[in-house]
Formats: sequence, C-alpha cells, structure tokens
Amino acid sequence: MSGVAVGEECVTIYEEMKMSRKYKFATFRVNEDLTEIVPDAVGEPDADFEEFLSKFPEKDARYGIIDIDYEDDGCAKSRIVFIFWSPDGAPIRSKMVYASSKESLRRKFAGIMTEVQGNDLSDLTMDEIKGRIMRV
Amino acid sequence: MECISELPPAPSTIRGTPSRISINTKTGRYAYVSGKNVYLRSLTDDNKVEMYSRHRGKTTAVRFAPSGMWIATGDDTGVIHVWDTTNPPDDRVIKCERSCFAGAVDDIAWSGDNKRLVVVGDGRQQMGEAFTPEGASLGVLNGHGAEITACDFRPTRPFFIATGSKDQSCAFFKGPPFKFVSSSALTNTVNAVRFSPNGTHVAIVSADKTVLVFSYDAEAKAFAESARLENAHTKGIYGVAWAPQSDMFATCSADGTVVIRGLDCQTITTLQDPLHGTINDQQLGVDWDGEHLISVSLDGTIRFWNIDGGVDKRIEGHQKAVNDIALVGDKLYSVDANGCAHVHTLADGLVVDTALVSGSMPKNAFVSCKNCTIDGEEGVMAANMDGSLYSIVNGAIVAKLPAEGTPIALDTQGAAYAVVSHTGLEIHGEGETRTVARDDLISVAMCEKYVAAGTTKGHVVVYSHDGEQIAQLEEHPRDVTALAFNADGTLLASGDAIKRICLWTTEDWSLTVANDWVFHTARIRQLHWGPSGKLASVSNDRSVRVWDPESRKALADCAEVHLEGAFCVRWVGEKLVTGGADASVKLISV
Repeated sequence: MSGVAVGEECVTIYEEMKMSRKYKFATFRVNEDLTEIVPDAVGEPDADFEEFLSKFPEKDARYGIIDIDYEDDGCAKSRIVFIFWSPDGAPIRSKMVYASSKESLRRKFAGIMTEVQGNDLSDLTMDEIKGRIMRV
Repeated sequence: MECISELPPAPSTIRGTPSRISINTKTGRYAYVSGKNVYLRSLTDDNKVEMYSRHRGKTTAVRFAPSGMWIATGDDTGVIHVWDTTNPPDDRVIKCERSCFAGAVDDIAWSGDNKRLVVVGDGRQQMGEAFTPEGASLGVLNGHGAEITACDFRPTRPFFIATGSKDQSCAFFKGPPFKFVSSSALTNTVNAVRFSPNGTHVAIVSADKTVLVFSYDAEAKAFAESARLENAHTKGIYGVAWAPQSDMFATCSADGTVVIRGLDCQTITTLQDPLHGTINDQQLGVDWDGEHLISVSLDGTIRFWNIDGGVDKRIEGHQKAVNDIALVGDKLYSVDANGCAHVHTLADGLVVDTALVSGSMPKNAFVSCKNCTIDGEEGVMAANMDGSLYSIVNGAIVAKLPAEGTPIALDTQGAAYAVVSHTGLEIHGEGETRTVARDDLISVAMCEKYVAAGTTKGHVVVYSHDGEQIAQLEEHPRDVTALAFNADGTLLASGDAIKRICLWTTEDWSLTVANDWVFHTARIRQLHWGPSGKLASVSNDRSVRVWDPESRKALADCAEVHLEGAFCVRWVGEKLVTGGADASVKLISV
C-alpha cells in the first residue's frame, strides 16, 4: 500500500453510477501531492466509449470505471468494469504510485468483478473488454 | 475486410525426393502439400482453392480416399491427419490425428473400400503401419531394413500392400494383419509404388532408373515379376501413376520427362515441356485420372500434360515467403525468398495468368521490389541478397546492376532509387550517386524531396536526395522496420519491431499520431499509402490493417491473412494485395 487515500467523492460517484446510472463512466487520478485519489472526469449517460478513451492521457496513468452494455445469449446486460490505464510513456514514478494505490481504490468499489489493465489503446478495445467480461 | 481471391503457393519440393500429388476424379480436385499446409484445388477452375492448416510440422504426404470424401495427410513430425474434404473449412471433421513415426511420413495409401490406410515413413523401429481411418491398428510392416519411402494398397481382394524402401528393395505384405510375403532387390532407393486400378499389376520405380512391373498370379496367390526395364530414364525416376483402364502407366523422372508405358515397360509416348532445360524441370511427382495427367517439377510448377504431347496448362506459384509485390498497370509482380520473381495479371478482381519472369534468376532471396522508371519505361526494380538490383520490364529481366553490400531495403521515386545495405545508404538520382556510410540502417522510404531511413536504435533519419541529413526523428524504442511517404510527400509513416505505427508531418517533422496506431501485436513489416490517403500495414502477427490519418482511427482489419506472418502490402484501387510467409498472394477487399 502506498498510503494514498481514496477521496470520498470517488465512492459517491461510483454509488451514483451503480444505483441511478447517473454517469456512463468516470475516471480518477492521484492528486499532485500524491496523497489522495480524486475524480478526474465523468461522462453523461449518453456518452460513448470513444469519449471515455479520450480521457486517458498519453503520458500519465489513470483509473477508470465504465458501464459496459453487452449481450449474453441474446439477453441485454450491463456491467461496470474497472480500467487501470498505465501507458508505456508515463513517468516511472507515476506508474509505481498508481499501481500500488490501485487496490485501495478497488476495495472501495464493492461489486466490480472485471478489471482490465491497459498499457496502450490496443488493450482497451470494446472486443477485448467484452471478452474479459464473458470470461468471468 | 475479407480475402476475395488467392494465388496459392506451389508444392514444396526437395531435390532428389519424390513429391506427392493426388487427384480425385469424383470430386474433380487435386491435392498437394506446401509448407505446413495442404492445398485442395479444382482440376478445372484454378481459382477454386481450399487450404488445410492444422499440421504442426511441414507437410510431406497426401492421398485422397477413393471416395473423395476423406483425405489423409502426413507431416515431417510423423503425424497423420484424416479429415473430410466436403465440409467448408470451419466445419471440417478431423476423423483421426495419430502420431506414427519419429520422422517424416513419406507415403500414404487407401484401400479401395476407403476402410483401411497404410502409412510409411522415417520411423526408428517401425517404418510402416496399416490402420483404419479411425486410428485402430491393422498391423505393422516388418521386413525392411531402412526408411520405407513408398507404399500402395491393392484395391481388390485379397489385400496386398506393396512397399519400396531406402534399403534398395521392394516388398509385398499380405493381410490383414499384413505379414511379409516377399521382396526384390534393386540398386537404389525405391521412390514410388502403385497398383493398377484393377489390382492385377503393380509398377515400381526407383532412383536407379529402373521400372519394375509385377503381376498377380491367381493360382499361387502372389505377385511375380513380369517386366523389368533398366535405364528407363536417363536420371532417377520419382513417380508412377496408372491409367484408369490399367493398360498403361506414366513414370516421371529427374530427366524432365513424363513417359507413358505399356505393361511391358516399353515407351508408348514421351512427354517433355518445350520450355525445358534447367534442373527446375526435374519431375518429382505424377498422378493420372485418365482425363488429367499432372506432374510436379522441382520448381513447384504443376503441369497438365496433353497425352498426345505438349503441355495444356502450367500452374505456377511461389514456394517460399513472398517478400514484396509491386504493381505496374494491370501487371502484378511478386518476388520471393527463393529468388523467384513472378508476374501476374489482375482481371475482374482475380489474380490470373501467373508466369515466371523471364531471364536468368538469381539463387538468393529477393528482399524487395518497387515500381521504377527504367529507360523511360514503367517497370520494377528488385533488390536481391546476391548484392544486385534487377530491372524488370514487361515480364523480363532487362538489366542487373551491382549494389554496394547486401541490400536490406529498397525504395524508388520515378527513375531515382535508394538502397539500404549493411554498409549504408545509396541514393541514385539522375545520373548521380550519393552514399551515406552507416551500419545501423534497416528500412528506407523515398519521396520527391526526402529519403528517410530507419535504424536499429529506433531513429528515423531523414536525408535530402543529396545525402545531407535534414532531421533525426526519435520516438520508437527499437528497430524502425517500415517507412512510407504518402503520395504528395506531406506525411511519413513509420512502424517498429514491437507493434507501433507513428505518423509524422514532413513540414516541421512533428509527430501527429504517436499512441493511437497500436493494434498490431508484432513487428510491422510494410506500410503502403493508398490512393484515397489511407494507410495499409502488414505485420508478423499475420494481420493486415487500414488506418485513416484524418480521424487517426483504425478503419479495418483482417486477421490471419498469411500464416506465420504477412510481409508485404500494396493498394490496387480500393483493394489490397498482400503476400506473406505462407508463399501465397491474396487480394483483399476493404
């Protein structure tokens, strides 16, 4: 554990997303002092996947959660997926802080079953994420 | 994206080793082995091709069941697959997958009722075995002292198996459970054995140029030698096939001829390709179904012989990886790792009329070929590992120019061209040649103003046509393996050995696409800009992808295009032509 705390707004956003579907997605970052995880961006319920991906910077790490709609045996379902974005171009210090703080954030988000790690955009295609959901 | 037409590879051949080819009359197809794959092709329609790619080793033997419903294939790891030929490739039933030998499978034969198989090869203790198509053993062939190279199953009862071996003898086994009956000595490896369709005779051919015929003696219930002809050909004999009436058979030999013989072994007709003359004409395999007499030569050409003399049709293809392709008008040129250059015609969305480029071919691999203006005519410049550049115009090699060092990459712009070799970069302009001595260059691209070269350190170095360095672009972490300027020279795309493609603006050498084009999973092999400003890429990950520089998005992709890697890509209008390690050339719609 890195000692980075999880901000209360993060949990509120997750609860609102889960219970009332207020947001399509949300991203989180570690603040400048490396003391707390804070919300970075949220997406309106009609936001698309491309918009979600655009919230991930090329040279820094991020956490994200997104509500994925998918079809299983002809039955429409949705599931919230946790994304850990850690691009090769991010500073090493940043990658370390994000990796060591990830568990404390995930533990606050009760009920997330699927986690996807993205090192570049090829890891975060819709097919890839849906494949991961089906595998669980 | 999907493959709309395929030019399949030619059969794999090894000098001095028979090459198996099998015709099935009932389904109108023939089968041969190439690389790790097996190809089924229509006897009448050259564009009807099916591929089987489930073998892990190099495929070495193939034989249709008499019914045509099933086919047995073997590879060099000693594994046999029995699979059905009627279902589409996705629903194929593999009836049996069985490991028979430590070494390669050399020959396969079926009984006339499709219910028994015999397989021979390079085993340590057992060299041949008979079994049912489901895999249950029917007996082991004991009696040869070395690798069994050829076998056949008597199509009528009582069942016999005839074999030929590297121990320089042929033998008969009766069964099941196929027990040794008799053997006859020759003076070299027996290459092929075939029973006549009515089961009364068996023809045996050997590398010692001998043809032997045995006939069935119904009273003794055994086969006895009825004819022998020594020096039947001037070189070793590699294949034999019977006419359906069982009254004559064809033998093929390294002397380049296919000879039709009567039951007394005497020649009825000698067939020879009028275009013969090199060792590439060694005929290593033959099959005959009455209507079609086909043979495989050392260069992989399949010839459909006219029994009255001459060749009706030649089917050509590459035997090794296709390293590059170029398009001049409606002529498509492709060059391979065997040093062969082919010219094809693109018509109605099909690749047709494949022929070898005329002129003396090099023995080394071609690394690249690009469009080039040669003495005012549109042609192709091809770089070869023998240290030469070949100019090809209208399907013929017209000139051979020396290059410094061994060429690694080549690009052209009008009549000018740039070659990257182990010693550096050579830029040939209008009459002038500039060289840049560097030992770390591996790729090159050329436009009207610039020459860009990729290094093993991950840099893209940009030169003027005078050889002066203009810029050094640093973004890739490792080898820059592919480069391409777009049509007006405003954009430069670069691909690396990991998986990434970057896009640069040539105005100020700024990076416009850095982390978006990352969907390949292995080394980028080639990039090509299309007429509508789209970029196509191929990679060792077997796929071809299309990218749009305006939206920075991946537009389309086609996975598993070329097994073991896609090596080259060219736009043809709104379609793509690709080549790869499986030695095939494919036309792909976007």
